[in-house]
Amino acid sequence: MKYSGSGISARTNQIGVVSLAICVALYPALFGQNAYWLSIGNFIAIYSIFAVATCYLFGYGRQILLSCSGFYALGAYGSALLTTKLVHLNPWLAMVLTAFGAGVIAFVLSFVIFRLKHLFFAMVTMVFSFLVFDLLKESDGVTGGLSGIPGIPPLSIAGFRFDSEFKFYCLIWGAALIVLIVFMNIIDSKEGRALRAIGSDDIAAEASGVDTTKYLVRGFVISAVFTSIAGSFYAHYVRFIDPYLAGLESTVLIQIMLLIGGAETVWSGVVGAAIIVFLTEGLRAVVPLLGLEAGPYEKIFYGLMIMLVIIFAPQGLLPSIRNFFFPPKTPRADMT
Amino acid sequence: MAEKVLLEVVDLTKYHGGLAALHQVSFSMGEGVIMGFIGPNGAGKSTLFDLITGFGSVTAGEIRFRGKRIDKLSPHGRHALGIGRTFQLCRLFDNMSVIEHCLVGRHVATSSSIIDAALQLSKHRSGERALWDRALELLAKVGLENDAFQPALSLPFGKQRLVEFARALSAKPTLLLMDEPGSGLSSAELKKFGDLIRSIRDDGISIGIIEHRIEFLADITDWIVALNLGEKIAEGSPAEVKTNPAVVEAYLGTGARQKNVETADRKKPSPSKAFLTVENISTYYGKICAISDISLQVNDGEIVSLLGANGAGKTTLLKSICNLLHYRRGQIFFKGQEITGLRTERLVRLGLVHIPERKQLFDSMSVMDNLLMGAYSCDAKQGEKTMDDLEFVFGLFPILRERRKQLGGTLSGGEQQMLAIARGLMSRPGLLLLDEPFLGVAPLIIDHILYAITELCSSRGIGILLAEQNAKAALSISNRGYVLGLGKVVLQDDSQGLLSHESVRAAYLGR
Repeated sequence: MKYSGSGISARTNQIGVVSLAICVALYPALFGQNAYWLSIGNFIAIYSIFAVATCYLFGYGRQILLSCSGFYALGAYGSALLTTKLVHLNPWLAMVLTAFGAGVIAFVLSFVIFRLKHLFFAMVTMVFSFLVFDLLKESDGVTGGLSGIPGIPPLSIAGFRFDSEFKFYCLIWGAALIVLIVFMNIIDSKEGRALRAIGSDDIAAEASGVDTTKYLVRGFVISAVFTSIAGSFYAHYVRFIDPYLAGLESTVLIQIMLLIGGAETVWSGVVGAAIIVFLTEGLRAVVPLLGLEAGPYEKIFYGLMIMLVIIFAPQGLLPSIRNFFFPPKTPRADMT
Repeated sequence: MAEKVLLEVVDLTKYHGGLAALHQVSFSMGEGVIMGFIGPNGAGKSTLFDLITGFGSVTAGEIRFRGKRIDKLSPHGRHALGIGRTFQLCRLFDNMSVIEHCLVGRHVATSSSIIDAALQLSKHRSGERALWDRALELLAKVGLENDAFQPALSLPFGKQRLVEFARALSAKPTLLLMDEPGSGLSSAELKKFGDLIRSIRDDGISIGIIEHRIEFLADITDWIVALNLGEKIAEGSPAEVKTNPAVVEAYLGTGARQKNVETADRKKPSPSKAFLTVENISTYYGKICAISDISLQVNDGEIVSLLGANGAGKTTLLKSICNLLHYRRGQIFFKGQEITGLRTERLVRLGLVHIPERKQLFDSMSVMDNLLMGAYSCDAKQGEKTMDDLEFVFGLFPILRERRKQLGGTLSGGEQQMLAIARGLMSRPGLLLLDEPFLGVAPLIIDHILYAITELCSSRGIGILLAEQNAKAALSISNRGYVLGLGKVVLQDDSQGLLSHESVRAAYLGR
């Protein structure tokens, strides 16, 4: 095998990107201009960006990262504030500035968090999200407190406003595909290999010349920047935000998406996001038809579905499907 | 040594808590030299390599590389200067293919930035292509070209060692330190490995190597340093060190005990009733058959060896017998009772105990607690018996008594092996399945373990099934043996017969 494109899984990734692009193109054709279905598609795309960014450090670097909702909220609030109350900046400029800010915050934060390992690392990253939540809630003079920020302008290019569901659909999926490809490229490069080596065995990584702290910090910054971008897209799409974006719920939601997809591939971000969004919406539609009370039963079925996945596909859906169609050729080391 | 000095270690001292792991060790190493390090388990060999490569802080003393002090640098900083290493137990990346290990190994010399990579600029692509070509070349050199795209952990143990070796070589180090690279290799594989090491030395890489097989070391090294209890006890040419009385006493042993063992055990037990009978078992990994239709038998109080190259299926067979791996066909009987498909935990209660290749100790528990965990399956009311058992295993392995308060994870490789065997004995087994008990164990300790095994058989009537690369040692104490090849039994005979069998001599005894 000769080197072709980016790395080992280049072929699978190329096929994947092409099939995803086809699905994305067919989706509006199937559901026409139905705003509800398009909005589902839009949320899947936003969550995909969010999940892929988280996956980089969580799935490949294997760091238990619970700060993602904090950066997501920072991204949303940064964009919202820069385009409404304070200064009426161009939304794209606001998005870039906010992402840069998130990167700087992540860099500063990393001086504290990468001194810690495992559970302590997880706890400190979680505390960061709580801090962001409290900050947004308490400083109501700027952020509007619990009532949030309404009236955020939509994104636009040269006067063309992405203000309908369909227009935003085209924009956000274009962005999601680009983010996906960028991450696939990074993962099969020096940068990504270093991070994966650290995730697997940090001692062996050091012994191979990888500056482990440096690459963890870089991974954390990259992850924060793209998470912030996902938050910016959310703000300009929904056009109303509140501090609950920084809540633990969105962090857990993203982790569930990744685990269901099978954390150790960027594809888990897209697949997991699609499954969770469709599952949530599907239950919302089906549960009342069964004559059951919507709220609590939705949650019960949701939990059941996730338990089923964990029981029958403990490594996540994607690896299980792969192993089913292409069983590993040689015994795994833990079996020899 | 007339060569330019590459590495200089001066009065290196390292304390673990109050314990001296190394005490004022000094030596220097010239360019283009292959240097061997020997010593009993716990002598501080691995600690020495750890300190030179930057894993762990130096208590006192200096390390100089090309005249520059390096003892304050980080591991990756030292790697950048050209110091590579491999580990005692392979440390491979479970999420990467073989070739990716080489790419990570080449990390430092990879120039493309994250932006180049993200946008797949031509600079990045040509860089990656060059990396791939070089990695494939290197893999061909070590003999892994056909496995380049396999997940590294799916390879048999011997090949995993080569992957680690290739990863270290990818960085083009000037000094390569290898911690027991030959353990787990058969004599034939070891011979090939020796040639490989010589050829990379000829490429201008200096090599430090820890190894227990003294003949192998004598064959390839220019200089040997012997350590014992953290101190240097001798250094010199292989011939000098081999005959140095201090080394012989501390490490090699006089061979007297082994002779005792041989004569003691040659009175074979009369053919008694079958203890363990395995009939036609087959185990698959997915669709691949790892072992097929294997039948064997271990009689009461008998030691049976299981020989075979890496990947022949020895470990798979042992794990299948104790149902850690699910076997698809066949039947297993133990003490006249069918045990086919019984859960491992039940089998331990019945007295069938497996001691795995990689020991699997409880790292964060003390030696004592590890031993008591071994007695877990015994009845709580038998506390006194447990104390007797403790006395018994401490009698077999006195070093464990000394270390009983230390954490399992902090023991040296050989001590861990003893602890693993001792823990297995605590559950009062009727039959022990031993997987490579001599992996990374000093010759003197091999003698000791051999002695312990024969002692167990004669005094307690325990049957033993022993999978081992060290065929000479294994056959010296066993009554019979089976040779596996590609998942099948290719040969079975009594030990004398196997020792004199031509193919066994060629493949495992290196003669």
